[in-house]
Amino acid sequence: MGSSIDELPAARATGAPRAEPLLVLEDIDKSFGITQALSDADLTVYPGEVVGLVGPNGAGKSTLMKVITGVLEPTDGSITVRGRRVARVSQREIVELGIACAYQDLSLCTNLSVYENFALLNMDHGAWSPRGWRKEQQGQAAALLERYFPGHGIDVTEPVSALSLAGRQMVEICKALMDDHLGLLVLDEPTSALSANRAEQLHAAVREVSAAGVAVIYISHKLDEIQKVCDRIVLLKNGTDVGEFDPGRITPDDLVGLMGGGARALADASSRGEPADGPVLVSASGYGVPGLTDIDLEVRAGEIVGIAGLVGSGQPTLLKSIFARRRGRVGTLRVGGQVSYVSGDRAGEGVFPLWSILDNIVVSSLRGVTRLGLVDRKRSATLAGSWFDRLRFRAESVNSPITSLSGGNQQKALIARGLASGADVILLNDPTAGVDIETKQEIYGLLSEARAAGKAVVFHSTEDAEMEICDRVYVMREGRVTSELSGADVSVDSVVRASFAEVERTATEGRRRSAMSRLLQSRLVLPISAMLVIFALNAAVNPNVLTLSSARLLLGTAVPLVFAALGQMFVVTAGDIDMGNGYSIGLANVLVAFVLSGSLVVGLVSLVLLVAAYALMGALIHLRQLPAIVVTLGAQFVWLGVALIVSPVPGGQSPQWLSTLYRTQVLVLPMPAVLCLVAAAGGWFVVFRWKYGMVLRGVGNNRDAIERSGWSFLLGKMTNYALAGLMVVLAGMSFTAVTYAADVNTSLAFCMMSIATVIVGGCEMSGGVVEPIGVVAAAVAMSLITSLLVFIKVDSNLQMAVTGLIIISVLATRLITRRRASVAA
Amino acid sequence: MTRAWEFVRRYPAIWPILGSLVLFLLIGMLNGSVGSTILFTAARLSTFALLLALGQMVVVTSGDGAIDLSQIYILTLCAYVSTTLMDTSPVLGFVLAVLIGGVCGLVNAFVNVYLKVPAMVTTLATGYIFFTLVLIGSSRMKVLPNAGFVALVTRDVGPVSAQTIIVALVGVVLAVVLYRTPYGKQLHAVGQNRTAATLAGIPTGRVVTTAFVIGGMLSGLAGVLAAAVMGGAFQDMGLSYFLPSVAAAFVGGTAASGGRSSVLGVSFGALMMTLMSSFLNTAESMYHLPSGIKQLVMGAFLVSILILSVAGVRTRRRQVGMVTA
Amino acid sequence: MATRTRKAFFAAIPLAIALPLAACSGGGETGSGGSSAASGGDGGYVIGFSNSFNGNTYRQAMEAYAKEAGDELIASGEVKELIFAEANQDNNKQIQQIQSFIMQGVDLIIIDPGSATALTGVVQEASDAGIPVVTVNDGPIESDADGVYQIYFDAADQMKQLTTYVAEGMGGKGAMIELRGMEGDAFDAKAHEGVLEALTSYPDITVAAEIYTDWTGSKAQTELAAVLPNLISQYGSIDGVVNQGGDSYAAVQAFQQAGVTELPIIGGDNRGFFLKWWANDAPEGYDTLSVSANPWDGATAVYVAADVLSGEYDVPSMMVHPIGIITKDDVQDYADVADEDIATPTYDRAWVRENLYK
Repeated sequence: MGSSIDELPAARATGAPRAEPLLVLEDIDKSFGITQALSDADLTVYPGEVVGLVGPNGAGKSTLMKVITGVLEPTDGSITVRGRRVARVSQREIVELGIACAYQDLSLCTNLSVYENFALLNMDHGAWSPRGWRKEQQGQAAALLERYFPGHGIDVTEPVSALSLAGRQMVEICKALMDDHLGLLVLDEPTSALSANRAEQLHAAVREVSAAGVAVIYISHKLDEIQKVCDRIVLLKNGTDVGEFDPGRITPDDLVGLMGGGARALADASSRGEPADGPVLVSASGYGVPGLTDIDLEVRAGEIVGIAGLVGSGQPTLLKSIFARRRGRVGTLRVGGQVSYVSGDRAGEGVFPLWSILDNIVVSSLRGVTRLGLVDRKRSATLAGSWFDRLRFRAESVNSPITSLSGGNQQKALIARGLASGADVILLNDPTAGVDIETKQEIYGLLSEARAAGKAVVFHSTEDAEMEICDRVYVMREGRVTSELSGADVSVDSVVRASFAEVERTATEGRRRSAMSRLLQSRLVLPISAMLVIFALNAAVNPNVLTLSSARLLLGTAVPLVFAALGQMFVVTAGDIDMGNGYSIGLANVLVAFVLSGSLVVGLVSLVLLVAAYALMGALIHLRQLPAIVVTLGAQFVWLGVALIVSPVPGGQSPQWLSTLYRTQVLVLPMPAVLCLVAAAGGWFVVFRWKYGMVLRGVGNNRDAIERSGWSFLLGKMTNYALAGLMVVLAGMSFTAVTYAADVNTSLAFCMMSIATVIVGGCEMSGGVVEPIGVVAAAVAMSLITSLLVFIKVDSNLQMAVTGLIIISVLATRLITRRRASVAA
Repeated sequence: MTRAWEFVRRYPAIWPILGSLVLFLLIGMLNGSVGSTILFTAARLSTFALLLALGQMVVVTSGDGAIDLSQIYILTLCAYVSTTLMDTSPVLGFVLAVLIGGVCGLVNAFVNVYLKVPAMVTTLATGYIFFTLVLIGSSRMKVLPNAGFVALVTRDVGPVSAQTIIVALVGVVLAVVLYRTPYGKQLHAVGQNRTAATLAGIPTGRVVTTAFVIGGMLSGLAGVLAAAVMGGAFQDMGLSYFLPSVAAAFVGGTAASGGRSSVLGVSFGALMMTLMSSFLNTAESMYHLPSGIKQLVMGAFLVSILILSVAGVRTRRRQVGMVTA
Repeated sequence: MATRTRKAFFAAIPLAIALPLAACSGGGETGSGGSSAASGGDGGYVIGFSNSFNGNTYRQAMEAYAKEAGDELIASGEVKELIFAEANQDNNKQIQQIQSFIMQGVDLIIIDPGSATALTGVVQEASDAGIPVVTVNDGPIESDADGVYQIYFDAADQMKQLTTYVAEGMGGKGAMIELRGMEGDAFDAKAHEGVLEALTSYPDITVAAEIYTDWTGSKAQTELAAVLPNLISQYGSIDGVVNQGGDSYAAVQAFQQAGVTELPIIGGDNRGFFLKWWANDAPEGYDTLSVSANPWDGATAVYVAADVLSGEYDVPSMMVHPIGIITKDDVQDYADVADEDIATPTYDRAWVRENLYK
């Protein structure tokens, strides 16, 4: 059953005598609660060598990488950096060694273009840069990509969201390679999305870089690649290193054998008796949905079927599809009887944290304990109590809060929930993750009992050894079932071997999402065409509109909305929404009409304070992790209160200079038109041309990417909010210029109008995707609707309804088109 | 100390009960005398904020940051509907008006659950659509309430107003639904974790829809009663109840992220907000405070409660998390 | 859906919404749709009526009287079209609506202004465009422009009379509540001045509270209900209520609901339900004065507008419209009036010319 380590040739240093090691990890321990992720793990990294790191599920590879990149601190053990001992890898070591990591979960801002993602990392953090920096960065980015992936076909000015998965992976890798002082490069599953030729290019890049003296740690499940590219292979298993090997002398097969062999035998193999002969409860034939391809499987009553394979092969998708009885894109899936789902992700999908153990158990069995429409307490208690005793919970009573239980016991509660529901098919998604040995044994016992009771049990685990309790095992890789094991074949060894079975790699890189990119291009189309169409309608109904004086009238009342919408846009850029800007604009209005009109200095100070208050609001939201909608909703009453204190009744007046300014003409254009153009241009500049604009947009998209690039997330968020505050002030000023007075209650409509405008203008409510020019155009369009309604003699009250309908229809349509686009990809 | 915290967390109604007591005494101090009429009057005045707060509680409990901003507009719409219809037939008119509130809730649910528009934006938009119906129709609708109904609603039974009795009945029924029926259990599950609820076999979409419908009907009921008590429907009738109802819902122990509710707490929360309003009004006129102070205090108060309410629930959820290797 | 179709689809949304709405136009007016500029003269004048608010019975009555006068003039051919726009208390919207009228090229604009100051600019625009403006009901507004004619009530005088009557009835001492109209409104401001002026002669009367009611009964009742218990504990009893109209009966109900047995002297507002209550259900010998502005001024405005445009009459730029007064001796005449009626006199065109153009 697989070779033992002693029989294999040990690793030998190749080439020149070794230089001083860059990094030495010795006896590293890392535990999370009761789970020991690493124990006595050793790893030494020398400059200029490529170390391959392999291991089965749960071996500890990613934990080890997190220790190396400083994300985690080891519980025990020593780290030596260039001869100097440290307790953990901190920013200093990262800079000293030049550590860069291409992550598996990509660290790119999807709303920024490719070259901007690079620029975030390698430009200095000053607010300004010399002119022409964008062209320079684009050139550098293109050169970088070309160097490592010739013929990549990626347009560096495209946003990352427009790239295919392969494209993104290439960008992520180049980002890691970009560091001038690169000393240690960590690549975590770098070719998972790449086609064969791209993978070749990557290997060439790796060889080039290591020849220049950079140490490379290459983690992959693709053992053939490891063999090709690495100088030395380290095998991790159960949290410890079990050996180093020379890639020239060992085959992938041997490696696999090493990974599987020697595991502890688990539950009694002899209990695996006759093949089950109960009715087939789950059957899939040629079944395919996004994430799964051509699945054939069958589960009968009275058997335990295991779903194994490397993490990320689609096993949870399979289980969830069975639970939801999801209709396949191709093929069929038939599920008979009641299904219950037990999740191993207790926090994310399982436990109801505010409830007791009893409630958590009974929640799937409510029908059974309901009498006369009411939940019968006694029956619930009996039901829960019986399971409580059977499962031997380590808790005070069945009424204790579920959070008082350990992870393992919480899992038992979830299993009890599934069993208590009386379902015929029980799906378990990695239920033993983070569970102690004793409890695991109890869980295996429960599964056996369920099988004996005639249930169909489908059991997925990332711990391959556990598959030994199953009657049959399906092994999955990349969304397919690659093998079915039964009878004597069900062993850790064969499971591991089957997990590494190669799946035909796609020759193409997947269709580039051209439909998606075209959709993105059309962000400006809707608002601009809306503006033109509504203007045309206005003109058709009333030709007088086409004069310059009419334009002045129309745009004069549009300008406040333009600024209000831009303010909302900056808050949306940060990923939030401002529910209070109706009253904050009202406050600005009051301040201008009452304070600024009296004294320029005091007025300006008060307006600056308002901007500062906005910035503080942003800081509060970030530092205290508060939901923005809650804070801005409450803030609106603070704005209102202050406004009423300044002026309890409407009144005040517009400062003379302001009104005159608003009525002047610049060349032929009336001032409001000029303001609209300036606002559009200014907004575009700040968001898309200014260097810090990248950070502003990144803040709403990917916090990690911003922070890993060394920028301050807090400062970025506050700047977004401060800009929003500035827009609020400008909106208040222009509103005063229009109405000549202040009334805090008449600016309420701005809240909903600004949200509608931002949506129609092409912005997304999250993800930092904004369009300043679109927003300005949309604002003009929305204002023109009022006059249109008057011209066609429609009750102007309908405007509010129209605005509401517009919000809903645009958001809904976007949802549908996005779903269709993502499915088409 | 932690035991005290635990106790408070289990019985969130403690805060508003204490708060009501404190404010009651404060008002007494200002007036120079303490009398139970203040309490019963405040209870009567808090009727509408309370009904709205209960509706808000149900919607917020469904989780995922759900909140209903259209309530006050549903209230106004149903008020107009009730005054128009109840002249012809009091009972039918009453039922229809409340049902229309439910239909409004259904609209909210449809946009939120099926069109997947976030609840806050949804109800912001639908609220204005409902209000537009009021604005357009109000000149064509009758505004005066049915005299018989008014008499019924405004009488007193001993020291207690009929409105308080109605609200108490509603509260009891709601408590039964939320804490003793399967639906109530499902609602609280959905609020704690929508994914987990779906995976536990709960029809999440239907549960959320029902929550919105209940919220809509409660707003509708508030509208019908308000029209009777206020002598008729008028366009602004809902505005002054928004802040007190949202504040009452949260101060009464509703978790902003969903999954926890307390009918008792919210009821006392509404009472407390009315007492606070009353206190601030009296202080304002006695000491001639600027009129903005009231809004400022209420607003700051709302923000603080929301912050505390969010913080409390998050620690519980963090306890469940497990870091895996 | 191909992207081109999708773009067209999006652009069509506002169209799809606006066109059906055009089919069900609100705002009630007579005459055809299709609004391009009319040139007045033969074929009749096109007049725009910008109302700041039509959410209470008074304003609705005013619009009804205006429409009546308008219909009369359309029948005679003098007026071609009378267009209504209503701003729901939003000054910005009223400005936009008046601007729309200017852009449409109407012959004259009638305005019931929501603010004394906010419309100054847009009225100047109208004047610059050669369009005369008639303000009515809530003026006068601040304006130096040419071609502006203002019809207003002497609100100060109205309230002075009422306040004096109520103060006398209170015996010159005690606590009084002042019910006001809409914040920022010109009529309300002038009315308040009248109250203050009258009260200078009664130093022993304290104003316990000032409450804005938007001249709407239900709002008055809500606001009163909220503060009455406290006020009564503070002052012992409220002895008089002065108000600008639209809320007298609501005040009666509020006091009754608060359990007050001896009602204060509440100013009447000529509304049907108050007069009926006064005539039939009020305590024996209940003495007060009922005054109000007159919604027939809507018709007045239309007649004045036609005369301004014809140029045949010398229309002054400031005109005071009489108010309506009912005393306890007259009240029995109104024992059967309809609830929502406003019992004020109505006139005719000749009366306007005789009484306002002096």
